[in-house]
Order: sequence, then C-alpha cells, then structure tokens
Amino acid sequence: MYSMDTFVKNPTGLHSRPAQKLVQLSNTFTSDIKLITSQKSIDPKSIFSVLGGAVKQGTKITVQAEGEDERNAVDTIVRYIEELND
Amino acid sequence: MKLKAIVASQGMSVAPALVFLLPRPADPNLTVAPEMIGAELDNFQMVHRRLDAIYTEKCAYLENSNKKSQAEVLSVQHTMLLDQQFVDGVKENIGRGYSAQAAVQRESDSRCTFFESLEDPFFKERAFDVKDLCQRIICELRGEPYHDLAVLDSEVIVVAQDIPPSVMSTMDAAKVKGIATMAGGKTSHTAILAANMQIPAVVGCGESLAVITDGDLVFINGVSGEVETGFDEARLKEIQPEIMRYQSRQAQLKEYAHKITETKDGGKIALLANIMDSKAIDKLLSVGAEGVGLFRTEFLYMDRKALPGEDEQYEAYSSVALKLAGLPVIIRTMDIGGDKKADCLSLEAEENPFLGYRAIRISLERVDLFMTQLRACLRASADGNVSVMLPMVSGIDEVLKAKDMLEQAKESLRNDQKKFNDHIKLGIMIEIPSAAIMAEELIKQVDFFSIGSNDLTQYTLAADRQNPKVANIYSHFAPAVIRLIRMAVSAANNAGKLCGLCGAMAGDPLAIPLLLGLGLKEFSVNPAALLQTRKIISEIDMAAAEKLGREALQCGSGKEVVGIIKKYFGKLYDEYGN
Repeated sequence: MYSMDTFVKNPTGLHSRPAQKLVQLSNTFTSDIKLITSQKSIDPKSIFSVLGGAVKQGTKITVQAEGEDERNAVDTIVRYIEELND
Repeated sequence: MKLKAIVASQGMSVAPALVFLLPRPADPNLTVAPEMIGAELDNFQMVHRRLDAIYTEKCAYLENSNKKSQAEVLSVQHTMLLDQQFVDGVKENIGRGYSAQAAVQRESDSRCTFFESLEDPFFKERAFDVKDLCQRIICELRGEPYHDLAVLDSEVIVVAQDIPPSVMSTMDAAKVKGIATMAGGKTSHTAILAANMQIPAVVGCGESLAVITDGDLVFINGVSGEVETGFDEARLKEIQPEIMRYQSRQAQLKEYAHKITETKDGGKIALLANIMDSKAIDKLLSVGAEGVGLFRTEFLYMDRKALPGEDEQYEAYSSVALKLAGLPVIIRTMDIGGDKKADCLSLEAEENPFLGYRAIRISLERVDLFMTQLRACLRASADGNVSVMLPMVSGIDEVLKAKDMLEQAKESLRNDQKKFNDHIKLGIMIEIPSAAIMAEELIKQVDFFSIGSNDLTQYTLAADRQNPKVANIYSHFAPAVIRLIRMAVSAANNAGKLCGLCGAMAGDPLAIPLLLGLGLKEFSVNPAALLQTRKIISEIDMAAAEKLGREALQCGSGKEVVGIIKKYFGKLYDEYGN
C-alpha cells in the first residue's frame, strides 16, 4: 500500500468538472484507490462518491492505493489535485 | 400579472411563452413477474448503451462548438450514467423484482435524497443532474421522446417549474429569449447556465407563474427581476422602447472593455475591481480591469471550524497575484466582526459589534493569526504585484504596531529562507472618521489609503447601513462624509501618495464626478459596475468636476450636494438620477 497527503487548493473544490476528470483518471488504474478526508473515505472511481464527498477548498486529502500500479496511481492523482485551477 | 423575483442572468426581452413540462416520474413500486427479470435487465442494458452513445455524441458536439459549460453539464451526467455503483444499484433493484423503470426511479430517489442532504449548495444541486439523467433513462425505457428545447421554430420565453441541466445545456439558445422559473436561486444550475449563455433569466418566481400558458406574451426584466404578463397593446408599446434603450446601453458599454480609463479631457484614472477569490479574475481581465483594489480575505475564515493555515492562504493570494501577471492586487487583512462572523475565531457575541472587536483590533491581539496572514501575504508578494491593507484603522498606534509585526513577519521569512518582496507596500482603509481627520499624520506612516465609503458613511452619520429605519440618514452624499473624503484624498495627494476608494460610492454614477472633483485618482468597484464606471469617467470634464467638488464642500445637506451634481452634470443626472 502506498499513500500521500495533499490539499485541495482551487477555490471551488472538487466540483463537477474536476470531479468528473478525477473519476476518468482513477478508472485508468487497476489498484483500489481511496481519498481520505477527516470526514469521509471517497472512492475516486465513482462520480457519486466524489461529488457526495463535497470536498471544498482547503481540505486535506490522503490519497491511498493498493495494487499493481499503486505508486503511479497515487502520484498521478496527487499531481492532478495539486494542479487544479478554476 | 407582474411579480418580482431573483435576477439570475441580466438582460431584457419580450416574447411568447413556451411552458416546459417535465416528463412524469415512474412508479417506484411497480414489480414484474420473476420470469420477466431477465428481459428487464436486457432492456435496461440496451437503453444504457443507447444513452451512452447519445451522451458521447452530444458532449462532442458541444465541445466542438466551444460551448464548454454546457458540455460540462452533460459530461457529468454521462459519467454518472457509466458509474459502476449506479449501474449496480439499478441492476440490484431489477434483481429484486422491480421493473426497469421502477428500478431507475428508486435509484434516482435515493441518490437525490443523499445529495439534497448535503449542506453545500453547489453539491446539493447535483441532485438535479441525477434526476435529469434518470428521467432520460425512464423516457427511453418507455419508448417516449424526452422533450427538450434543442429545436425551436420561433423565439420564446421558457416558463417552467425548473429546467433540468441537460435541457438547459442543449437548448436552442438563439431562440430562447428569456427564462422564468418557479424554483431556483442565485446559485442554481439554471441561474449559472443562463448567465453563461447570456439569456435573461428570473428565477424563484413561485407558483404565480402557473397562470402562464403557451403563447402568452411575457416580459422578462432581468435587471429589476420582474416578470410581467397579461399586458395590453399600450403597455407593450412602453416595453419595447425600454428593451431597446437597455440593449443599446449594453452595446455601448462593451466598447469600453479595452479602452483606457480617462476623463473627457484626458486625465488618467486607475480603475480596479473588488474581489473575494481568484474566480472573478478572468472576467475582470476581459473587461480591462487594471488590477484588484480590494481583495477581501475574510471569506477564507468564514463557515469553517479550523483557522486557515499559512500555506492555504498563500495559495489563495498567490493564485490571484499570478493570474494578474504584474497588475496590482491589494490584499486587505481579515475584516471579521461587525456583520461578518467566523466560527473558527470563537468570538463572543457583542452588544455593539460594529463598534466592537473587529478587523485589525482582532488581528493585533491575536498575534498568531495575524502573523500567519502577514507571512502568507508576503510570500505571495514574490509572485506578483502585492500590497497589504489594514481595515478599521482608528489611529496611529494600530498602524505602528502592525508595521512592527510586518517587519517581524519579514524577519521570520528570512530565517526560513522564503522569498518575498522586501519593499511590499502597506496601506490602510480610511473608514473610521478619526482616521480621516488624522489623515495627514497617518499618511506619513503608510504608502497608500483606500477609503471604505460604506463604513465611513455609517460611522460618520451613526446610521446602521443595514437598518431600513435609518436609511434616510445613511447617504454618502452627506457633506460631513464628503469633507472627510476630501481630507483623506488631500493628505495623500499632498504627500505624493495614492488614495483610492473601494466602497459602493465608487460605482455610484452620480458620485463619480463628485469624487473626481475631490481629487480621487483611483476607483475600485464591483466587477459588474466596471464598464459603466469607465464610461461615466470618460464623459466627465475635470474643470466642471472640480467646480462641483469645491461647491459640494460648502453645502449644508446631502440634498444640496445632489442638486449641484444635477447642475453641472444634468445628462448624467437624467440617466441615473432616479
């Protein structure tokens, strides 16, 4: 298992477009992935789970993955979240 | 019938109504015989594949026609359609014996209930996407067409309970002249999309819209928020020229997007905008704002339990500084207290909050909090043209203390080897009468002033700006307010420093010549008022404005001041005076 912490920096958080792109990106990996906030555990492969997480600007997220491509998955998703810019 | 509701998207139009009705939902309790379960599953899967293809095609079409926000709405629904949790949920329901339609309806209801339970209005809104998507699936399952507004024969005003996101995104925007809905608020999807598509819209009208039927002539006034119907020929003859006037004024304003801001006789004026986050910047740049004269930071502290940390604040400030690419941004340190509350500061309720523990008064006491904000501002100064401004300054001691803390913040950043601009400018708000009276002393200690006309007016006249009972007293044309503004502007001008004004007065058409006459050189307005302010400035002759300024300083009442504005700027008065 591999994990890394990051912050959501863009003003609108994981709203529609970022959420939907995150889901598409996460589905390109075979590993089981979780985004863990202080409130919830989110399945980034499901748009309902991501939008239901209602993640706002300033939220700390731990990106965790387990599986063959875990390292790549975590790195890619962390980079994606860090580069969000409305 | 005439009603007033919420303006969701500006504009004006008159056209016949098209009443948009939603398809009826499916009965969530309809079951099928056990031997039919397989057929229902196949049916669902076939429809699922067909809709997948339809969404793919529509999204691609919208992307290619550069309709990004509309494409975004559809692709969120498309992602929902393909979501494994969603598909499994429907199949499970079918497996339990429900018809495919009932299975989708049940999935829709439970997911909507969940989204509706969320606090944040944006995420709450996603219930509409689920409902809309499921409605489409159900129509496909029934073999019924899903009525949308993609093809329209003539110009219409769409009247509806609400318009689903997918219908909004695919509607024939050239034919839809206006929108009136019973439901919705300022941040609802209908509002956001309508504004994006530049269709005049009034939302939250309530049940009274139900009287409108297809073909009724409807007038949407997306400026005042009025919806009118059932009028006669005579009224129509009044409405049409009103729309024409509005449209020609809008067209004229557009021409000012890339002009420089100067008076009729060529005097350069700085025109900046007020913001609260980086979202507004693209819009600002597109209308040629020359920077940000007021970046309100209190929103970073509101609606949360924990204080915003240095990194988070740095990101927020830096993103604005970077987007402005060298244009100035004035970051105002936290202005909590008064009418703005923040849980994360756990402040006690006060008898007199506007005269109490507020803004700089909190910052100077809570050293930890202020240091964090100053360090974040300083770090952002390495990324752009950043200045810092202190709110609610009442006297020189506060300024000296804050300057001392700014130096400490710089020292700590040097120790941490973080980059910042050592010559960062520090300014203060002039919004307490004592600060205006002492302007000559204060300007010696700072690099610039910015007048907060809203608070300056309410403190000078002791009239709560939110209390309608004293609204007749609250006026920024009161001579006492004008004299204080003059003191601040003169003190700065004499010292060779800049004095701006960032309150509502800067965007008030009638106040613009007066402020110019008082010697003001920098206006910071809300983004929506920017072009109008530039246009008005360009029509002002400075010689007349200076006469107006001198005479206004001799007036005994606010009414007299307005009278003098009318005397020198009659055309402006006729256009905006009522």
